[in-house]
Amino acid sequence: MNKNDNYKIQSFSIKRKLMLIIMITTSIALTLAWLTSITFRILTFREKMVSNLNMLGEVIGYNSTSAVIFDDPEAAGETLSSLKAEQNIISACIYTNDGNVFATYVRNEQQPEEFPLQVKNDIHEFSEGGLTFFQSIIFNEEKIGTLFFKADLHRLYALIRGDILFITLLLLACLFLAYLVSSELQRIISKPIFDLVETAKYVSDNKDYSVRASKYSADELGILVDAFNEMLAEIEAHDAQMQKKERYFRSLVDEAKDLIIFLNDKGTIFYQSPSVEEVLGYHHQELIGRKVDVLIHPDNIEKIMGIFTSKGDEGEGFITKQQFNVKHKKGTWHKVEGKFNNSFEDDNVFVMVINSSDIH
Amino acid sequence: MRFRKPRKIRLIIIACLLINSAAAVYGARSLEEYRELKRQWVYNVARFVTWPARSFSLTDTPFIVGIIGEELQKAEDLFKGKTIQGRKVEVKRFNSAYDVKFCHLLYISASQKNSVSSIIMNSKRLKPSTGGGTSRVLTSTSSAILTISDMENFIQKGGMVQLVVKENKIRFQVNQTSAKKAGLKISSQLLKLADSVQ
Repeated sequence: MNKNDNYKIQSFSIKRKLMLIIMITTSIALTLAWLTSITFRILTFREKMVSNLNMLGEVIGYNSTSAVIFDDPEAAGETLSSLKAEQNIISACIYTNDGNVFATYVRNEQQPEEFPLQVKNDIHEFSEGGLTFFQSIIFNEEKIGTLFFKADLHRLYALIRGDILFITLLLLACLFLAYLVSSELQRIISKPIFDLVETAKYVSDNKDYSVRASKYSADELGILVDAFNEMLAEIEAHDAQMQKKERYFRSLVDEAKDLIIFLNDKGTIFYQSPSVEEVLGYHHQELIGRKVDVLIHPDNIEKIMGIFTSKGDEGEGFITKQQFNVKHKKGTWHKVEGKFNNSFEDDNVFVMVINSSDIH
Repeated sequence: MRFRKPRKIRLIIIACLLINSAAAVYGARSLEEYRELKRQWVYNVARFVTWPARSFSLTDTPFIVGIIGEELQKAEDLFKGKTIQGRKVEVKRFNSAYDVKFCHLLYISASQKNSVSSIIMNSKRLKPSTGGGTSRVLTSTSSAILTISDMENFIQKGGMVQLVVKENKIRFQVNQTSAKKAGLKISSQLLKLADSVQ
């Protein structure tokens, strides 16, 4: 696996990763099981075939003892021809002790078989042409000849093929079952994570700290969920406290007799205290969104705007006093002294406070 | 002088006829080869027959092959060192039908053609010699003696295995009934090679 693949896998979802891990592990295990069982089966089949043919050879050998002893090739041939019943025997022959072919059998007479010139002692060999056997024919503990026969492996191969197919199908079924089971079981891990991610996303999108992630387990994920929820609770509590504070200050401001106006650095009004309506006649919200020009005498406007632009020099929380004329709704001008400061630790928010007692 | 020549010719003709007839019977094999085959054959037949335990009084009792008549020359050489039923083989020759003593296998030469019936009858009553303190009395059961011969109609006369030369080969017929009566078990391996089994 190179780096690219690794990266590609890392970009998968946890659910996919889990499935991948489970399926790869299962596949490796099943492949090993497949290989082992196929190997074992092939060895078993071969062993079984050898032992079956060995037994057959012994029967044939025993049945041909008298024919060999009495030098009766015809009778021996008849005995050999009983091999017809065994479809996978291609050919057979009996050698006398001096190595001459005594009697023969060939399954397909159109296909003459050649018999080995060299007689071997009891042995079986798997070769290209099939499985060959040499078996001594024993009579009264005396070797009287040798039986040779050759079996083709078609049936063995057919058996093995069938077996491989069967085992393969079985293992594929197991793999499919593993897929089904694991796709259910992976939820144990992926579901809490997925939920946690959903909750985190919701919180970050909606700034709603009141939601909580649900806890499914007491493991590391459970701890993570608990920690996450605790964090949310803390943020929520902090928020509530902040809001309470804000309400408190707002109520203070609202109740004050002084005229309080909030402006931004462009001189646009975004808050007027209720006292503005009482003293200057601009009713509730009337000034909001308008320039401070409507309130301040044109002769003074340059001076006032200067405060906003020069605020940087003073640093945070500066307070400046200025005298200027404000306009009543009815059109009358009143000379006042106003205090300016930037507030809320925000460079762009300015507060203008005018003592209402200045206005008569 | 005029007749001498034909006489010579006659002798040659007779000789030729004799040889021819021998060749006709034994095929391409020579007489000596045939005799060798026959000895071997008798031994092989014995290997496929099982004698009852009562035929042997002691564990080291030898297997006795009895031969009546002049056939089976050199049989002693053949059986030397060989075993039948796991026993050493002893060859005994009997000159005439009256001479026959107990044995396990009795080969009857074709020359005994006229007395074969009585030989077979007598053989059923033969008992192993009770020497060395063993007293085995066989009265009710007939002796287990395998009778073999190559004479014609041997089977019909009560013989057990009859050797026949057919197409240059030694074939044989078996009288399973008389063998069974004598308590002899002939292997199916042998029976399947027989031309006929009675």
